Amino acid sequence: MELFRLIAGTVFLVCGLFIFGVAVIGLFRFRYVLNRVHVAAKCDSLAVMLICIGLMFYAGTLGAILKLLLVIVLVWLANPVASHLICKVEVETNEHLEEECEVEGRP
Amino acid sequence: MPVLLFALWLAFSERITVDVIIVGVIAVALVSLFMYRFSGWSTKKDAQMVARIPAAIAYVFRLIFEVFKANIHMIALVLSDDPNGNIQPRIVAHKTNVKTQGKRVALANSITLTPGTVTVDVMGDVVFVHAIDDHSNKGLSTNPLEKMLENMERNQ
Repeated sequence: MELFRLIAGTVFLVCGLFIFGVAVIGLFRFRYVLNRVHVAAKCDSLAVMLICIGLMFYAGTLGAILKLLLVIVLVWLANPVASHLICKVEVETNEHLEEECEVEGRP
Repeated sequence: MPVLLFALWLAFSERITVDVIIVGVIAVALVSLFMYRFSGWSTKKDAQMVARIPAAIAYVFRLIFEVFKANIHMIALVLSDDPNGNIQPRIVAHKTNVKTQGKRVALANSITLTPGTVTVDVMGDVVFVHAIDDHSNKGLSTNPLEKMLENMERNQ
């Protein structure tokens, strides 16, 4: 049982770290803010969840598991709001938006 | 709602002893009294919320599944040879049939959570979305999450 917990936790942690690594690579490979937001903020949503699940396997006690669950809920609520605000500021302040992407409608 | 607050308190205190429970009951009573009195909570709304729980849980699991699927596509995109050449970024005005304010917020946040699409702005029933490539763009118009939200609204 102990061994199973260790293996399952490690698998989840490694998957989460892999996704975070991809997010960092993507951050540098894309050129434009709106494209970068996709990888920077988005892979986090999955990576944080996987890492927290891995830590749940390590933690073992009910209290710690519930707290990690709350961490996931908070990140999943805060993450879209943050990236949404970055995008909104970029779209509303950039006068040459059409050079970067096709615009079918503009707020 | 008070039950939820008390569960949160127990989760934070990590152990169940008499003193924890006494302090928790007093704190929860004070907070709920204040919220029911001044902040528009009511037992009717609580009952509505309890009725929605199964649909909400199904929605959350579907959301996690969608995030997984879109993330895999995103990883493939980042690790491809020429990420800047492979993408077709565009801002799409997406018209939604979701009516209530709260569900629109949920829809906008889910669109942002799924990699490949970011909600730029919500104006009335139009959601402005920045999609990174055609694949995400297509996924937007056949979004299963939006259908779930519409179903939830119809069943109320």
